Amino acid sequence: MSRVSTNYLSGTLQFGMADNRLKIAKYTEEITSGFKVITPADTAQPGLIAGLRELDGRMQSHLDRMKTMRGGLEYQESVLGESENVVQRALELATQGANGTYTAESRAKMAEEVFGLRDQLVSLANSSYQGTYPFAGNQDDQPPFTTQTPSYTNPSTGPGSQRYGYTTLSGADGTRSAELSDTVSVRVNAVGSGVFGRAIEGLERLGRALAGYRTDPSVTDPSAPPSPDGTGAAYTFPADNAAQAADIRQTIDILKSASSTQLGTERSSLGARLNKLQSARSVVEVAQVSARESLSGLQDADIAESATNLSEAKTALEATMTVSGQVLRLTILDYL
Amino acid sequence: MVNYGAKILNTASGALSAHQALISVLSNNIANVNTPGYVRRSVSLEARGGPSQGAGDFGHGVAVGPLQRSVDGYLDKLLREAGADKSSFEAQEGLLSRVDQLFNLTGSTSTIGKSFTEFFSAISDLRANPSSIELRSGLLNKAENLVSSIRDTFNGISSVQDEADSRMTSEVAEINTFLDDIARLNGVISNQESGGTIVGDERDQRDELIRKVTEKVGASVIEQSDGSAYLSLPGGFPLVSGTTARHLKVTEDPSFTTQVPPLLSGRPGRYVVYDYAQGKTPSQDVDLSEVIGSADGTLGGLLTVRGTNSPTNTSPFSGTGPLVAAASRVESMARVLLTRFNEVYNGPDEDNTTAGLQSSAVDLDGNTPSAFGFFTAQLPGSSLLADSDNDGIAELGDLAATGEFTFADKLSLAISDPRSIAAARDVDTNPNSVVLASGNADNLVALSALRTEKVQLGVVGDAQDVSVPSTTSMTFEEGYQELLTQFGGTFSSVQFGSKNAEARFVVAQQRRDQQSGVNLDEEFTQLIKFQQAYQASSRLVRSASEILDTIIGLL
Repeated sequence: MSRVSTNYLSGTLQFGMADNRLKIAKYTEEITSGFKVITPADTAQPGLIAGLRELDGRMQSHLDRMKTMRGGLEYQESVLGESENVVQRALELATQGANGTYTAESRAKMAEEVFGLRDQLVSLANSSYQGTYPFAGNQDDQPPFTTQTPSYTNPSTGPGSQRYGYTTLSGADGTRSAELSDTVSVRVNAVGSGVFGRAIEGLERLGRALAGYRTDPSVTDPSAPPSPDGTGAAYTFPADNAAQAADIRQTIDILKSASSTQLGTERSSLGARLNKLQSARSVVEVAQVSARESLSGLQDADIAESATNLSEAKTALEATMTVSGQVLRLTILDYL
Repeated sequence: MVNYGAKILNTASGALSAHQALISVLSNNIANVNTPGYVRRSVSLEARGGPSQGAGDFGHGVAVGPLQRSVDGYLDKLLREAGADKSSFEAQEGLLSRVDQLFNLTGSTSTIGKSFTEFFSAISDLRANPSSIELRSGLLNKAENLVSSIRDTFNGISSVQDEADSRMTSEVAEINTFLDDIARLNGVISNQESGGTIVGDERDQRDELIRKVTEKVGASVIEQSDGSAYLSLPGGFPLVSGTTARHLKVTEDPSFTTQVPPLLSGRPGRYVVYDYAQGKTPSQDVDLSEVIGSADGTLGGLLTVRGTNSPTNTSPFSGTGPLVAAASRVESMARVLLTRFNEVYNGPDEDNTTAGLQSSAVDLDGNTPSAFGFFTAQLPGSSLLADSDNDGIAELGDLAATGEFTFADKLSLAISDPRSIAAARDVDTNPNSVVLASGNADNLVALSALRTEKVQLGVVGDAQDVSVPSTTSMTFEEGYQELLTQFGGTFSSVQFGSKNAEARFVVAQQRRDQQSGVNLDEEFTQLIKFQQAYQASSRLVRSASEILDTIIGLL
């Protein structure tokens, strides 16, 4: 006959109750935390889960960065749009100024507006976004376009004397890129001389020509880098009427070139970069959703299942308690 | 003619005495129902012999046989083995569960994995706007988190190893006390049983002590012909022989070596030794750490987790065990940050014609970093890690020159000012000067590439041995994942083993109790039976008395 010792019986019942209480604690934690896998001990694939968490976190950081980058790129795009409007207005004035019917006095009045447009364009090129100057290349802690010394000799004062140029500091000719995703990066700033240089020079030459001054050297190749030398004699009228008109027409070529090859190109590039950002965003979001779905499958608690398990464990505990109460109370002494 | 009256009286008297004895045994069983290690006793009844008186002699009554202990040596052995196995796994599971908590997978705590992700993301964020003080502060904050998570993880593992190490001392102290008591009881048992009497209480006490010893250290037990128990360790090292107990010792200063490899915390690792000299000088210690570590029992479990290390080694990473394996990976991450990361952080050599590396990296104030310019280590005495050979390069050799073995617990940041982050690289071509372009992020571009670069995350040996196995080339992320997979696998197998050991123990306990345990119902049933027999015997006395009275009345 097998003997069931009194101690063994009570020990077994205690063990059963403790085991059921552990199960209740586990399922309660699953329900309250939402996770069935919390530490490596809970799964055979802790490395995979850690990898998916890393992927999720990395994709989230890409998405967060994209928001900031989108703001910066859209800001630059709006600056360029405004700049193109400025150049367009200047072209209209240049076209009028090149018309032989205008007098020197009328052109001088146009010059005032042109110089205003130039200053506006310089302002746009020197605009800052969140503390940095996006059109200053990598020297982005200071405005890139400043008045140059020496100024123009003729006139020696007034807006016509001011000669603007792009900073010569090291690094201003370089740009940087930032990551949109693990594999895609886009440029986030620009070398201002390549974006605004031609337009500013064109406006400067146009203003000076309308005001009655040459700008040396004269432009023979609109694609050549701007390099006025600060001199420039005044026209003598009426002998230089034709020369003035020719210089004004040259500025039209410069401004058209600036609009199409510099401002326009950069604006197109910004559009392309914003498209790239949108496209990268879709890819990153898909990767993140995929990672989160996998994580959910591997790690998240099925609340319904956990609740069912909890209910079963509670029932089992209650049953064990009931059995314990009944069995442990059973003694032959009650029948003697 | 047989005198039946007197014979009945004698028989009844013997029966009364026998059943009193039986009830006495039952009372002892009932009294000890909750006594650990108690073995149920019983006595058998046997017909009392006597000289035959020929026809009409119908027997001499009943006699009490010798006291018996319901013990089965084989079942006791099974129970001891199961108990030792269970204790070993319980010790391992308890310690490893604390390390398990360091690798939370929910993303809600700052684990090493999460910190690495955020750190490299902060580098990428700063790339977009390298002059931003806010983003620079963010990067420093994430770097601090990374440093903290590596230090905390390493220290967490290290503290578990320290606990395992220090618990060995208290376990061995208990074992030695038990061994002394077993030896004393051996003496009592062999003395008293030499006369043929079984001393059950002492045997129960000794068996319980033996069970406690084997729970703590996997010893084997043999009962000798004189009734004494002989306990020995695997390998034949006697613990108790007759009345002599030989103690174990936990020491940092064993006689067989003057060099003790440190634990991860830097403390000397203790050895479990067997002293042949038994306290006399000079001591003759024999290292039993590996013998006991490979055996079952609490001590074996503690040693399995803590790991063992040969006296010829000087590094904690030369040791064995899951803690050393996990800590090695964490340490290798810290070393890579101190060397490879700093090397990239310093940028290419600005001037190849001058000895040493001239850093081409530049911070927001136009300064170049030192060799350990981003990550450094806070050495004892508050000094920081230095470029020992002045070559401008952060190398494992510089770590080795400190004489330290662990750097994960000393890892810190070399900078605290956000402006001091060298995000840019020199933008001029003059090798004798560096020029800052505040928007230049070339250094950060190089640093962010480290996220996917395969680095040497192998198990590192002595700091003096700067070689790292090339077979362990992997990214930080891969290294962390492998760490989790390996540790998770180890811990899962311990948990699995623990559940199995528990189940085996329950079965062994059940089988032992079937043989040796006390069941109150059974004892009470027997009690009733014996009481009735006692009452019947007393009735016999009355009957015999009446018979004798009747005969006397006839006279």
